[in-house]
Amino acid sequence: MLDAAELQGIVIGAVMMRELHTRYGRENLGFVWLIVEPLFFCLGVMVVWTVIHGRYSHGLPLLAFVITGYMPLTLWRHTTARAIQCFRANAALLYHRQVKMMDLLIARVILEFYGVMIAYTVIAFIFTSVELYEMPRDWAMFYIGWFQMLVFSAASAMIIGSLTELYEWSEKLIGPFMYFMLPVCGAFYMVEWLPASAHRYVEWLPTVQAFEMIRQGQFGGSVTPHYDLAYATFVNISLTAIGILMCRNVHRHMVIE
Amino acid sequence: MIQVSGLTKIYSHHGRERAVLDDVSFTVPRGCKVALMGPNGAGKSTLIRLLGKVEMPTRGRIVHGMTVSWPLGFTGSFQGSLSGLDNAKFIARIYRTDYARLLTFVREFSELGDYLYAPVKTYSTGMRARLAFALSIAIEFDCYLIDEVVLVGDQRFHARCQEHLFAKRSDRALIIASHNVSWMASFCNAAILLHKGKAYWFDDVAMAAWWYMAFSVAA
Repeated sequence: MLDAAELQGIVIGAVMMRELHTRYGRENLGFVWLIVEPLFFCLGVMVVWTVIHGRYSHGLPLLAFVITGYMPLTLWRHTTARAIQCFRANAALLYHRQVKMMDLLIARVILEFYGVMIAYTVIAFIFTSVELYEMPRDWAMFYIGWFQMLVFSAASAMIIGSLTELYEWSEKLIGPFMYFMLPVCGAFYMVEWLPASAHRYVEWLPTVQAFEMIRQGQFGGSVTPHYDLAYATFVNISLTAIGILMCRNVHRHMVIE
Repeated sequence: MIQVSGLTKIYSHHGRERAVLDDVSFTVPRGCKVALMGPNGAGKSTLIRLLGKVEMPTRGRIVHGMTVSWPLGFTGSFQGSLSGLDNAKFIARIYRTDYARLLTFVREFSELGDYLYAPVKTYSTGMRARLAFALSIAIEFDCYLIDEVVLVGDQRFHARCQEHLFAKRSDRALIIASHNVSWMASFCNAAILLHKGKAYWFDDVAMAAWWYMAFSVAA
């Protein structure tokens, strides 16, 4: 049992190394791109927002608000985008029976998480030094929110990876779906700002839950967050369970060259 | 040994189901060299992938009572954009083998030289076969699964494969899919003949070859 877990750890590590090599090559900056990519995105979005809105939005420092929205969103979007037909693209790896479908996804999710986290740290340090960003007030809540986002991203990756493998047409729906989710997911607003009648609808979304937690962690008492830790945990665990079952089912149907 | 019982594999394309293997059972003992025969489309490669637990059966069970290699063929097991060395490193990691030792063997056996630093997609089929063979032989398995397509190299490579598979590792089991009946008859000591979804086990390879011919003529 312990041995199996160790082997799975080794496999995930090996897939991660391989993914880094295939994605960024050996000869250029390599791993650094994992950090620079989201860094560029964030800087761009922040510049545009600052021009449009000024430095504060709803009484909150704009920069911190954008980072706490955009970075977790990047994690989710990247992991789901990478999951689309990920099995087909990596069928070669499945020739080795110790490599499971899940390992391919988990390796990608961990890589994206590392990238986003390191990028966040770098951005936070840069903007703290010019006093545009303050460190989170409540680190525990901040990380709980991130963790919820991480689990939700992993579950999304498993579900979308399996769906796009089983039904090719589903790939066409992922793009519009993710685009529709962009304004709704909670990255760019707080539930408190919405009309009270809308609260109970958006609160269903696991992403809204995670963003509210992260903002609570970032801004502490200066925001009124709307989240339910028990509900969010329950939904994310359920989605993960569904994702695991779907991955197994895909393997059953998969034809490997 | 490898124990196969009630193995069924059904593929469905465009809503049509086709049983490639239909309730197949057999046991491969340790050290047994099995020739896998059957016309194109009989399910040789499918059976090899199932035995390697790469694909899952629709029904039935496969129990590995010994260590079994991954299925050797051209298509699988490599990432084309990575170099031969990176692919070797990946194999060393997931099979928990010492990379330096693996590399020494792969260099010597594959004779790929500097090509090991080039992406595998730039390799010829012969070179790919050499790399695939070198990697799998470098890792010790009790049983090797081989799709004949991999035996495409030149004479020299052919001779080395035979030396390693049949002379140096004569105690290992081998399951090899091929159309080259006479070649198999001289090296194998058992055969599985696939015909219309069924598998027939023969302890006499020549007899299997005879039936293979008979089925081919009848079809």
